[in-house]
Order: sequence, then structure tokens, then C-alpha cells
Amino acid sequence: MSKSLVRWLPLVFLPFLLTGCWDRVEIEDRGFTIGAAIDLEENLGNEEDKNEQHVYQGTYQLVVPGGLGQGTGQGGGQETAYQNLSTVSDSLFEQIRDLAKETSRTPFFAHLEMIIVSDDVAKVPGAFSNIMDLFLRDHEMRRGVKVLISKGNAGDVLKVEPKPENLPVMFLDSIIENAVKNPQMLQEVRIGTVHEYLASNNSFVIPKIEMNGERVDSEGAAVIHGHNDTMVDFISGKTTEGLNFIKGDYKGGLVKAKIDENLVVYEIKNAKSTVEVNTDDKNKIKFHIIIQTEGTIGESFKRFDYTKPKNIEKVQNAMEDEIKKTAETTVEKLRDDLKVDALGLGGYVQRKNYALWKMICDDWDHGDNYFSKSEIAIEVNAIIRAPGSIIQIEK
Amino acid sequence: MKSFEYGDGELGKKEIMFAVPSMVIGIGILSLPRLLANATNFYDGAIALLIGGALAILFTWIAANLSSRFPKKSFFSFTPLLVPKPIVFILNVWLTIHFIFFVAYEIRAIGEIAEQYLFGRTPVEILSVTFLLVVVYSVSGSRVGILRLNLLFLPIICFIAVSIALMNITYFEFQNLLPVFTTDWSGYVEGVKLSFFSFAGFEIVLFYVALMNRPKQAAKFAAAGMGLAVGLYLIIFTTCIGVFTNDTTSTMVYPTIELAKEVEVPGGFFERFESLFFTIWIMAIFNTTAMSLDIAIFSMGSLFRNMKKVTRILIISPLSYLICMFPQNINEITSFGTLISYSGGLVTIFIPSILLAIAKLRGIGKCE
Amino acid sequence: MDKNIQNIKNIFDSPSDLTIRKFTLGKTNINCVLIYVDGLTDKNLIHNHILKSLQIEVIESGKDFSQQPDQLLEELYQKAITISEVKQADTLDEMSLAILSGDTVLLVDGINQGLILGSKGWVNRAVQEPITEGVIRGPREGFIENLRTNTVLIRRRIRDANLRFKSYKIGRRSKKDLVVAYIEGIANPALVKEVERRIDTIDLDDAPESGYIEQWIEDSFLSPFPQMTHTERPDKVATALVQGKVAIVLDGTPFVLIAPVTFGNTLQSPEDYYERWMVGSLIRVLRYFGAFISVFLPSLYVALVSYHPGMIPSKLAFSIASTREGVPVPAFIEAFLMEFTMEMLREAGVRLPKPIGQTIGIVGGLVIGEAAVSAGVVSPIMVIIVAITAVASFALPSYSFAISLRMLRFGFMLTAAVFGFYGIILGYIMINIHIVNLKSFGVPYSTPFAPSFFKDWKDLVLRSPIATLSQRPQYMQTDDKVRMDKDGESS
Repeated sequence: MSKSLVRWLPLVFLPFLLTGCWDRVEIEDRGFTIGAAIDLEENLGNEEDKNEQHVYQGTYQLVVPGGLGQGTGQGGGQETAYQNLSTVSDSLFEQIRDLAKETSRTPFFAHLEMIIVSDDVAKVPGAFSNIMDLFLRDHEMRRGVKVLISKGNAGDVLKVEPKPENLPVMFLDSIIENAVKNPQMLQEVRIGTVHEYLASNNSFVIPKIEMNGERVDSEGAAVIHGHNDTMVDFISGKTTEGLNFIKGDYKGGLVKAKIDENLVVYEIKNAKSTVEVNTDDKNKIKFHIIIQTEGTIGESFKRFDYTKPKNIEKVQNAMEDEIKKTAETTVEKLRDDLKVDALGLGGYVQRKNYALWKMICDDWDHGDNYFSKSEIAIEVNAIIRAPGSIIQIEK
Repeated sequence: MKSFEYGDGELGKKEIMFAVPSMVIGIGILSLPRLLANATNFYDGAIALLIGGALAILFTWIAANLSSRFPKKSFFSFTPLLVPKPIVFILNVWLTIHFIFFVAYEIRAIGEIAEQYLFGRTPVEILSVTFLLVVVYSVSGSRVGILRLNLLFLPIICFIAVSIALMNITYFEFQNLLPVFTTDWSGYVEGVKLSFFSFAGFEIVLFYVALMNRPKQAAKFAAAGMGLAVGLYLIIFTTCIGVFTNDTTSTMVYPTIELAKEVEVPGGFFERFESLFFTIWIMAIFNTTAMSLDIAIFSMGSLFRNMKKVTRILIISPLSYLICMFPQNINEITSFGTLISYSGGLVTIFIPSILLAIAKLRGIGKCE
Repeated sequence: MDKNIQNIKNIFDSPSDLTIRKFTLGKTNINCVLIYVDGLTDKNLIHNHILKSLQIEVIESGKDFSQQPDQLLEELYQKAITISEVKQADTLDEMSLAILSGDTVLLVDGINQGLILGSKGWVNRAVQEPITEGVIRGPREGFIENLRTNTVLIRRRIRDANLRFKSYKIGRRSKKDLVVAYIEGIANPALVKEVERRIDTIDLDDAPESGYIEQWIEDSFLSPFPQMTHTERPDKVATALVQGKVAIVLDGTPFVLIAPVTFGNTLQSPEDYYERWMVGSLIRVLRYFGAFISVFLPSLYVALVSYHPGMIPSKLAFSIASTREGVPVPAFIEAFLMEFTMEMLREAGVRLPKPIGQTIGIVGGLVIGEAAVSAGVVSPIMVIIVAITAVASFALPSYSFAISLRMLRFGFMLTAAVFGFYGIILGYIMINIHIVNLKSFGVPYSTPFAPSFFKDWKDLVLRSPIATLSQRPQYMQTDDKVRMDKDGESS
């Protein structure tokens, strides 16, 4: 009989558990926060803040589900589907807790889609990684949250007119996913990847976003120096394109070239790059980057007979020159101007010659800056698979 | 209606093969990638893992071999044949305490992790106590039943572990694994030590082979089971390093769960995969805890032969619970765990080897 | 003889259906009497074969029977009575039991013994398709309430001389016939012995349905899972017997019990075997999903909505949140309400006459659901979930198993309400612990998952082609292992 007594034990405890339900929060009571934007708060005149932490203004976008216009149509379509709230504090955790003061729903971050950090903040040494800390440490947030750096006020970006979507953050989200079509945009960077970048000492790039009046502009990128995890500068769309070529992240785009004064457009379907490195002389490390692209003719103002291999050869060469120019501009900008290795070339040295890397890794793009002393040679190999549906528009 | 024993074969070799990995796969795998990444560079942890795993397989084989020499006799029944009574007594006490502490560690750990990843404000005490109650329920049934649960749960656990590895393939960068062989000797030694201790748990063969009706091939199957565990650990470690890089892995508290967090099912069908992963992992930890509690009660039964099983359960369970609430923070829990794994290591390395050597030399026990 | 008649009359207290027919034997002057119950007997048989034979066609044998009365009975038995079932009775108890069973008792003046003549015949239901277990393809015969007809239906399917029927009488007052059927040489003798042992312990007044028997002899009355199957289909019984199982047939009910039963069996249906293997396998997989949904879906909803909304994809999460805006009650109360209403609707549908029952179920569900949603009492997602759960539970072939799952569903909803996913998984582990420790007549319930008999997996979730299912289930430990030869000869 006592054996069944033991079996009844769990049931005896059951009523105690019903008094709890500590974590039960009904779904409609949650304030889904889908976007966060961090700006540097203008100094409020408190002298003590100046020398210590910086104070940030966080703008958070919460979803108002009733305004989404789905379901049984209880809410009218006139309500906006979102709500932007701002709080100010030097600690992001405190900011989030303060949010609860302003809204009737408990802020819930599991559906956070993106974090926008303004360049002012990113340029403050150490601020960027400090901000990322909360979003990585808290288990509620996913590692797939996208990170962007904005030129100018980040909070304003969240106010963008979201048509045809319902929510500005969703609108921004789909723009960023268009990087597939536009090579001058950087591919989305997840916060998980940012964690990897920050944990190592490598420099990296983050996509840029900017409000141009009412429109959103997302070409270009921000370069973050691996040494102190601080933003150095923005790079333009063209430079980003070269960066994509070199890193092998080029997902598709077009290259324009002039052949005998006429425009020909080469549509690239995919591109990849291989890097070879020669580490014999640490002061003059040689990189040989081979970029291979394949694609078709997109548009041809030059009347060319594309069935003749010689012609194809000519166009390919012209394209290769164009691409090489773009890539070399990037190299100049990064190596000579900014002196920051955002191309990931240090990794190749690390894998090729670990002993050497251990010696120079602290000075790779900082201090002695072996990166800026390195030689980077670029070779391009463009292949045109087909001329499209027609060979020439007129004979 | 009184039931009767028909069609209820006792343990077969399959049950032992499944029991070993079920015991080993538990809390350890959640934080092992971090510890290995700290000790070694890049992917070299895998080598440490393989060496540690090979050692573990070897000792599993030794322990199972020892037990299979004495069919139908549990550990405390055949040890008196090999060593004098006082030593048996010491072993008995040591093992009972070891397993009680092990149970305490497991329930505390699961309470902590569940609180962190599944809940936010539910007290750890409640989570631990409900888990303990379910384990008690399982132990109060038949011993064979516990091993059958391993058969039921292990496929699911392996499936989910392999799926996180597979679903992270898009994030896997092979270059994160290079360069290889850059760690120095002390790193490897540390790594092997870590791996071996995280494979501890195969001492259960000392107790469960006794329930087998044909223990002849127990050793082979137990070793195969351990091989499965090693393989699984290897897959997870490789995926961690490949997806996260060594540096990042060493900064995460539970890299395996973070791996589940990374997963994004295409089509957006699921979002927080780690909740699902951890929920299924609870099953793995349940198996480990159930077997530990069962052995603890069994060991205690050898010490106090007249105590009924129910009484033993009622003594050990609250004791475990009190012990589990002792550590104050996660570091204390970790050191608690390390202490237990050292104790387990001694049990698994020295005792079976020495006893087997004695048995072989003195020719005791059936040579199968 | 008159005294005997009076005694019998006293036992029954002269009911109006007790017929007492006195007559004289043929050309002699010996007085006899026939006693039977009107309605239980085949009147034609009595008139033509008993009365006629005894009254008219008895030929004077010339022997003098006044000295040896028992010789008379013997003479009648051998020469006069033209019925096949004749037995001699010595006690009043035997005779009264025979009369109640529908037999006729023949008493002769001066002789203390009587003859029991088999004359059973009463109104029976026709053999039709079983109501609760219809299939699309398969025989349309079902058991009825008559024991003899039922055993005949089984015999017709297994013309093996080794098919054994062991009879028992159950119930102190009802004295019903019960038959334990098995195939000797296939069924494990230990199993048969155990079944018989348990049946011997039955001590009831009456067993109106096999359910009483089942509950008396099952292993664990506390378990939510059934440990024996019951069926109205003779083909299912025949298959089970060939697998080495034991069937229990009770007079008065068309439901035949089959023991032992495992978890794998509860989701199998004979139809799986009548269709081809691909169809059979896929439908079985569908059933497994159905079982899973039927138990877990509402609790998953509760857990997701109240505890882990992070797991729901963004758009769906917002949509659910917006539809739940006006709902006054938390998710699990909403779920309980809807499920409870659904259960009541289901129960109501069973009581109502057939045509109305179906419509009420559908209309009731839809109307109540719609009205509840418009009133803002429940959210539309809840209605969808309840509907899908109900449909999934209808996909299960075994009604008693489906009921168990319904119970479990509520249990899981409760654990989900308190602990979310943690609760669901702990509940699942607890159910598994229970299943693993549960035995059905000595066979562990979780066979063949654990202990695993890999050979039995061919017939578990997927159904392999007929030619590969050549061995009897391993867990039954039958004496005769091979079901069929590869060359096509049955053994």
C-alpha cells in the first residue's frame, strides 16, 4: 500500500502549483517590440555624466495588434498598427524597464527584428559593444536580430512611412532583404555574427541606413575597427560593391561598361572570390584575390553579334576591367585611407601561417598596421553565359 | 489483478547499449563546447574529444566486462568476492553519496536552465521540485522500466541533436575550423581531461548488467553505446565551432542552446527553436537523473538491507533536494559539478580496472 | 412425477411463461411431462421432434420397464427421441438451469431422473455490419448477442482443429456462458493459463457486458489506458487469434475481448491490411499524427499563447494577439471551456437518434463556436483548434483508446496552464513512465517500442508488404513462429 502512497505524492503537490503560474502572461497583454533605435542623448547639462557613461535615448517600436486590421475586424483600420516610445538612460536594461511605465503592455522582445544604432553612438569608443551586450545577454532575444547603423538620428528611421506594409520595421526589413538585388547594399548582419566579430579582434562592416527626407536609403556600410570596436567611417555604395566582390558576398547585380562608346550592361548571377596569401615577408604580405563572376548580357546599346566568341571576349574583358576598378577603389579606401581590414584578409593569414599571425595579430590594422603595408593584387575573371533572348536588336 | 511475468524479457543488449548514452548525455553537453573552446584553439578540441572519448569507451568496456563476469550479481554482490568487506563498505558508502549528490546537481541545473530559457519569474525551487517528483515517480516503478524509458527517449534526443546540427548548416563556415593543431600540449591535456569527465556516467553498467539475462555481449554493446555518445558530442562541438568560431563559443554560457537559438526555420514556421530543443533535452536529463536516483536507492539498499524501497525513496529524495538548493550561484553550481565529476572519474577509472585485474588474476567469475 | 412437477413449479413460482405439457408415451400408459419456457424454445422442434416422436411414434418394445426405470430413459434416448442434444439430469438444479437456458425437460412417472432436450431458440438480431467499427473495405459481418452465433463466426474464419473454445459460466445470478478462445500450438500456454486463472476468480452477480469482465481481469484499474481490446468484428478476432492472442466471448454482448494488447495495437485497424501496403502505411502514419494532435494541440496552444509567444512566428503572433483582444478570460480557461463544451456535445450526440445526432454535432459546434466568437467570449483560433482536435480524435480506430486520449488531453491542458512547455514535457514523461510500467497480461504495454523487438517494427508505424510479414509478433512468444512460408504455403 505504501507504494501507491509514493505514487500519489505528485498529485498532492498539484494544488500548490496552481497558486503560482508565475510566468503566465497572456499573449494580448504583451507589448511586442519589433524595433529598437539607439541615439546619443544630448547632454542634459549634468556635468558628472560627461566623463562617465554616455546617456542614450532608446526609441522602441511596439506593435498595436488591433490596428493590424486582421482578425474579426473589431478594431477599425484607422488605428496605426505601431507605437514608438522613447526612454532615456545610460543603461539599456533600464531603458527597457522604463518602457513599462509608458505602455499598458509588458514589453516583449522575442520578436525583435532590428536594432538601429546611430553613428554618433557607434563612434564613441566601446559604446557599440556595450549596446550589443544587453541584446546578447538577455535570453529573450533571438540571435537573428538585424543590426544597422544609421547616419543621423536613428529614432527617425523608425518613423518611416511603412506603405505598403503595416509596420515601419517590417518595411525596413524587406528593404534590407533586397540586398540580393542591390550589390551596393551590404547583406544583413545578424547580431549573432556581430557577437562573433566582437569576440575576435577583427574589423567588420555593418549595413548603413539613412533617412533622406521621407525616403530610406540603405546603400553603403559602416566600418567598425576591430581593435576598439568603434566605428571609423561610412563607406559609399560603390565601395560596398567592391567589398562584396572581394568577400564573395556579391549576390547579384549589374556592371556597366562602355564598349566603343556604347553602353553594355552585364548582369551578374553569381560571383565568388578566392584569396591566396603569401606570408614570406611580414612587412609586405601579398594577397592575391581572384574574383570570378558569371552572368548574362542585361542590356546592350552596342550592336554586337554575340554569337562570335571574339565579341564575347571583348565584352568580358571590358567588364573585368570595370570590376577590377571597383575592387581596387575599395582596397584603396580600406587599406590606404581608413587603414582598417574590413575585408577579412587577416583571417587568411591566420589560417595560412598561425605562428606569424600570433605575432602580428595585435598590430594587423592598428599600431604597426601590417595590413596597410600589404600588397593586394586583384584578378577578375568574368564569364558571359548567354546574351539573353535576342542576339542583337537590329542587324 | 496480480500481474505475472510473461513476455517481459529482462534486459537485452539493446537496453544496455541505449542506457549508456542516455546516462552520459545530460547537462554536460550544454556547456562542454565552451570549456573545450577555452582550453584549445579553434577546432583542436575535437581531437581532445576523440581521445577522451576513446578512453571513455575503453573504460566502459572494462566496467562492462567486469560486470558480465558475474551474471545476475549486482556490483555489491560480486565485489565481496574480490576484495575484503571493509573496502566494499567504503565503496558502498562512497557510491551512495556520489549518486545522491549527482541527483542534486542535475535537478538544480535543470531548474536553473529552465528558469533562464523557458521562464522568467518562476522560482527555481518549484521547477526543481516538480522535476524531482517526476523522477521519484519513475524510480518507484520497476527498475527495468527506467531502462525502457531510455529506449523510448534516446531516438528523440538524437534526432533533435542532429537536427540542430543540420539546420545550422547555412551558418556553418568551414574556415572557422582552421587552422588545426595549433594548441600546445597543456591545452590538449586539459581538453582530454574535460572530455573524459564529461563522458563519466558509464559506471551504471556496473549496476545494470546484473539485470541482463545474457550478459555475454554486454561489454561490446555498452562500448558501442558510449561510441554513440562520443559521436553526438563531436557533432555538436563541430557545429558550435563552425557556426560560432572558437572565440565566440568560449563567451557563451551554454553554447549548445545558443546553437538552437541560431536556427531559423525557413518559412518562419518556428521562431524560438531553443525552447523546443531545451524541452526535449529535459528528457535527456530526466533519463540521467532517473538512473542516478535508482542507483542511489539501490546502493543504499545494500547498506541497509532491511529498509523498504519506499522508505529509502522518502529519505533520499528530500535529502537530494536540500543539497541541490545549497549552491548560491552558477559558479558554485559549476564547481559542485566539477567535484562530482572528479568523484565519478575515480569511480569509473580505478574501481573497475582494479577489480577487473583482481578478477582476472584470481580467476574469479565466469569467463565468457 | 407429480411431486417433481410441483417442485419445479415451486422453484419458479409458476410464471405464466412456464409451460407444462403432460402426455402419455406412445401406445403405453406411461405418463410423461414436458417442461419448458415459452419464448426461449424452438416450438417447432418441440412439437415435431419431441411431442410427435414421443406421442405418436413410440413403438411398443415389449419390455417391462416398471422394474428398471432407468432402462426406459435409455430406450427413449436410443430409439424414440429424434433430437441431437440430449442429456440426462439428476438434480432439480440442473433441470431448472436447463429450463432457463431454453431447453426442455422430460420427466417420466416413476423415474427420478429426467432428460434434458436441447431446444434453444429465441429472437436474435440479424448479423449486420458492426455499428461502431465500420470499414470501407472488409467483411460486413459483426457479432451479435448470441454466444453460439459468435463462436460460429469465429469458427468459420479459422478452420483449424487446434482452435479451442473453453466454456465457463459467469455470474451467480445470471449464469452466462463465457468462452475463452485460442489456438493451441500458437498461443503461449502460460498466457492461456493466466487468462483462465483470472476468469476463475470472477465473482459477480451478473456480467451484462464484456466490459465487466474486462475490468475484473485487467492488470491495472488505475491506468487511463485500456489493457484489452474489444471488437465487434470477427475478422479482427480471427487475426488476433492467429497472432497468438486470446479472445473472450461473452453471451449477451457483441463485444468480444482480446488480450493481451500493446500500445502499438491500439492504433492499428484491420483495414490497414486489406488495402495495399503504401496506403496502409500512410494512413497509419496519419493516425499517429491524429493521436498526437488529439492529445497535445490544445495544450500546445495554451503553452504557446500564455508562456512562450516568442515561438510563434511574428505575423501569426500579432494576429492571434489582435483576435484575443476582447477575450475576457485567459487562454487556458478559454481552452477548458471550449473543450468541455465539445465533450458535452459529443456525449449529447451519442444519446440522440441517429439522424439528429449527426446534425446536432456539426450544427451545434459551428453555431456555438460562431456565436461564442462574435460575442467575444473565445477567440476564433480556439474554435479552429478545438475543431481540429475533435476531427483528429475521430481518426483513431479504437474507441476506448480515443477516450483515454481525451482524458489525457485535459491533463496536459492543466500542466500546460501551470508550467507551459515544461509542464507538457514533464506530463509526457510521466505518461511514458506509466506506460513503461504497465503490463497487459504480462506483456509490457510499450512493446514493441521498448523492449524493442525490431522484427515487430515492420508492422508498427508503417505496414510492410504482406510477403514480409511472415512471422508472428515476437513479443507474443508464440510456440509456432512462422506465419507463412516464402513459397506461399501457409503453415
